[in-house]
Amino acid sequence: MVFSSPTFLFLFLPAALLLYALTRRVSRTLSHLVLIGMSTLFYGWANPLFVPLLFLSAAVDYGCGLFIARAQPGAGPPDEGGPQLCPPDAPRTRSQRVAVATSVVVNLGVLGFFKYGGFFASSVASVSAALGLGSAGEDVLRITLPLGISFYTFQSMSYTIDVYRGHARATTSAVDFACYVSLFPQLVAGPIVRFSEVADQLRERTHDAVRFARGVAFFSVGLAKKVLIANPVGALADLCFEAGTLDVVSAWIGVFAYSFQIYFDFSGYSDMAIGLGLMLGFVFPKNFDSPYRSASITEFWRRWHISLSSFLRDYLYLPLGGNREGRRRTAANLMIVMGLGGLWHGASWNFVIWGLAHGLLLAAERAYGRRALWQGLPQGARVALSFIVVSLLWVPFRAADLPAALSFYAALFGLSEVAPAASLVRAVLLRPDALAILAVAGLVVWRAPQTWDWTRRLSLPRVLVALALLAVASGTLLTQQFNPFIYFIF
Amino acid sequence: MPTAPNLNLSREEQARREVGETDVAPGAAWLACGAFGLLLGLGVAFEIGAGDPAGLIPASLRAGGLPSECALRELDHAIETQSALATRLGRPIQAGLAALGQGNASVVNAGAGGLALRAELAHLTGPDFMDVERQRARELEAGDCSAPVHADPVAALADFAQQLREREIHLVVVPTPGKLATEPERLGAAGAGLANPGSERFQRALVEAGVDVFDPRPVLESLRESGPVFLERDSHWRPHAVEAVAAGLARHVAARLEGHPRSVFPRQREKARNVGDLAALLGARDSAESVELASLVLPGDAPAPVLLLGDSFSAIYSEREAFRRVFDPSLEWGADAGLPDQLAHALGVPVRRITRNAGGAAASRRALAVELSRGDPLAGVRVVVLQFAARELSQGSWDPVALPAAAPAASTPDAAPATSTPEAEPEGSLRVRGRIAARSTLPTPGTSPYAEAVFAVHVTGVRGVGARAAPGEIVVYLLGMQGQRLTPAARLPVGQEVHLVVEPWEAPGIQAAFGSLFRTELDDVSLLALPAYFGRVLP
Repeated sequence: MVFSSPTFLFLFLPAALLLYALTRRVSRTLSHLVLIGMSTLFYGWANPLFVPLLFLSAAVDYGCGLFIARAQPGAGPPDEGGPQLCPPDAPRTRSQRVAVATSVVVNLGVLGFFKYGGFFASSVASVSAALGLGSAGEDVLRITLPLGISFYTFQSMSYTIDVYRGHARATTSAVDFACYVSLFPQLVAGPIVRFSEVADQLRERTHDAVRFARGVAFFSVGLAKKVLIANPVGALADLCFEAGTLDVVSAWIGVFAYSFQIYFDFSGYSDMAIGLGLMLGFVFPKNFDSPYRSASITEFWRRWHISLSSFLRDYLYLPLGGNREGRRRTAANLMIVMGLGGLWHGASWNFVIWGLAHGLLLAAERAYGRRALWQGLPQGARVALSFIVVSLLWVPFRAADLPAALSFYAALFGLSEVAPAASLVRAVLLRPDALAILAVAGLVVWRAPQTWDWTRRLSLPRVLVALALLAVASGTLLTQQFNPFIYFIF
Repeated sequence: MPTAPNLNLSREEQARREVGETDVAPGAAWLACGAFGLLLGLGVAFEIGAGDPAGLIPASLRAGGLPSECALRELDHAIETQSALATRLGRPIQAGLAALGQGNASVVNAGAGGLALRAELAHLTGPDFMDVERQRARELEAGDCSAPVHADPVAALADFAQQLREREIHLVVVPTPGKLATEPERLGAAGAGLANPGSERFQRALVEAGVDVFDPRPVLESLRESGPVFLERDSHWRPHAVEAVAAGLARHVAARLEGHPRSVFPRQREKARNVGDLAALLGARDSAESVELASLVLPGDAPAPVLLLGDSFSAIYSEREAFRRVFDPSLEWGADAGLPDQLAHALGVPVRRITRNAGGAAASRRALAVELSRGDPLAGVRVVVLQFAARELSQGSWDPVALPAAAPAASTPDAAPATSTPEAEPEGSLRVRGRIAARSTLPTPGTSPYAEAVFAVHVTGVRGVGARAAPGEIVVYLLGMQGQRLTPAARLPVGQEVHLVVEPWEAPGIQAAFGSLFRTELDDVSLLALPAYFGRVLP
């Protein structure tokens, strides 16, 4: 189910909030069961057959986490919060190592099979064909990708790793853990929330009108970002990236349109998720911090999709040695992390190239003293240049395949043949309403306050603005067809 | 990314502190909560007010069992397009947005006269439809919830030409350019005669496969100098463009009709007025435009040496009912003045026509197969003209269609032996019960330029209700969409027991009222030989 759909907004959400409100005063467990039920409906709406996979992942990690905590030698007796925290510096037993490995293998196995099985098989087939050892094949392996699998496997797996490392206490409550893994506001596209971040909230959280009102404001701003900005600029980006012919101007408008689309789409989703969390009493951390105001690529990655960046830092970059093993190793680690981060987004060489290109720039900036390669320029120019570089790197991320990405780059730099039909694309892009929405997107990106800041002090006029945004976005939504979030497919 | 934030607080602690600092007056907080609740309740309230919330549940979900991905997608879609909220609020909002110069998923709105189908824009600016990789990608993209896509138009057309050749009939293919291809200035673009990069290769491939092509582009280009070729707020051509293309097409095929007696069909001027399909898709119902037509006075049942298979470019100005607007029945595009009629005038011979609005890649060929299973529409035909919108080349499914041998007219209940006393029913009609064994799909309301649609159901275990005997299984056509809204019949699931009043599909009254409406057929072509009826569902 998609947040920006009439089904969610006018049927699912009122039912979920009503049932939750009715049960949360009765018992925490009952209200969590309601959340699990509604989350199952939310998730199963896309394809009921994938619901068991979600709970398989949750069951394995719940079991492994509990086993690791109970198997800790010398751990104190459990209290009402469950087994004690595994001391971070204490040695782990072989069975604990097996348990954490089981969790990682099961989650990565599920992710690998569903997300990368077809990619791996087709890559092998292509290489075989290139070596004359077989044919590339038409349909090597076609596997339907379960919605949100990249998010929930990472989230669920992080729990077991945190318990093993002694960063989180294992929970004895299967209901609480299932609620954590399946919670619909952040189930399919994050933010990736670590168990340690919400464990306390699963036991006790605040519900009041202030928190709910801020949730409404967050949700309204997020919906407006998606429906009123991301979707219209997305239509412009789609026109360009699906065009067979493009002139230079159209190509640049197209690439900036996509930059705006992916930012407003994903940050809009994150705002809605945070808002829904607040309505249910949960506080989720910030996932975007005005990334296009960054003056370097390093800064960009501190501000973009923070929950994934943090996850990769804590569970991949630091275990690889981080920056502690010398400059070459640091650069290699950055490339590995970013390459795998790219692959996390999708089973395609385009994503790997996108990730590696960012890794290369991060390594270069690291070598340059953690500063932008264009550090000597004024602040405004550094921000502009960083935005342009990030935008150029979105090309392989958005393009259908590698040849399409190369064609798009050729169009950007005037190296491709321009057919007469390109005038149609240009005419659509240069229409006043198209230019106006791009200008609005730019203003919001570089001038508007962040949602966190804007909703901190909710005066009556701001509440009215939020409600107006909600009404306009909901009304516009009624005129649009299925418009999934970009990150739903990752 | 790998740089740790230079902060002492964790992200979660920062967020909690942030939320703890929320400053909102109690009144404003309660206003936000209350208004949010009201908005959320709007959908349910509207649906209950409309009186039929369960009506949104699609046929596939009513069958029971674990809902499939496709059934849920269908329900989502029904809520998006058919819910009371979408129809009562969504359409006025759409009209308001159109007035402000906004388009929608189907229409590009470039202001005065600048309406165009987004599908055509995508065709013209999109990748080469003849590219094999592109075709394969389209076939793979079709997904499990829709019918398989055949993306190769040349294979389908070459096969169709060969089947006709075996019957000593010549095929002429007419890929019809759309509004933007002919008049790109409607969108403020430069150029003329725009086409998808694959167009030339497509025509060459057809010629190499022995398929005759008539390209109307030069004719339409020559008309541009004297004024608009296409309607202002509609995706179709103007009557004078139809006449010019018909004249050019007649010159192209005239040699194939040598020896056939020629006649002169008189024409009479009449006017028609309608709201264009593009304007209707934007919800703008108050912008009718008028055209002057040269309608033919055609002979009754004269044998026709030419059969024209076409889409809405052929049906416009020819099939009155197919373009009549439900919200104002006086609005329509006239009759007997469309491409088949003007072609008959230019050739001086009768032209039989089978037209289906939309789906030009296969719909009219499929319709011919249906007609062949019930009679012989190819009798005496020397030339078949297959007209389709050029955008179908990159967006349509070029399904192979096997033409069956011509059959005698199918039996109707009137011909069946009587087993009991007939019950009083309208003349020629029959009340039956049976179970739906298969059904065809319907277009999505709001996205199809056509407000009405007929779909087909295969009914088995058919028994007459206190009346004459009925065949054991029949095909029944039902009105599935009316005024861009699905009818209750559209929601009948496979497996449902139904009670119907049916009349023979070929009955003149039925044909006049429903024969020219957009129609979808059953996938199983073998069912087309069954007796066919038009039906109405009884409670």
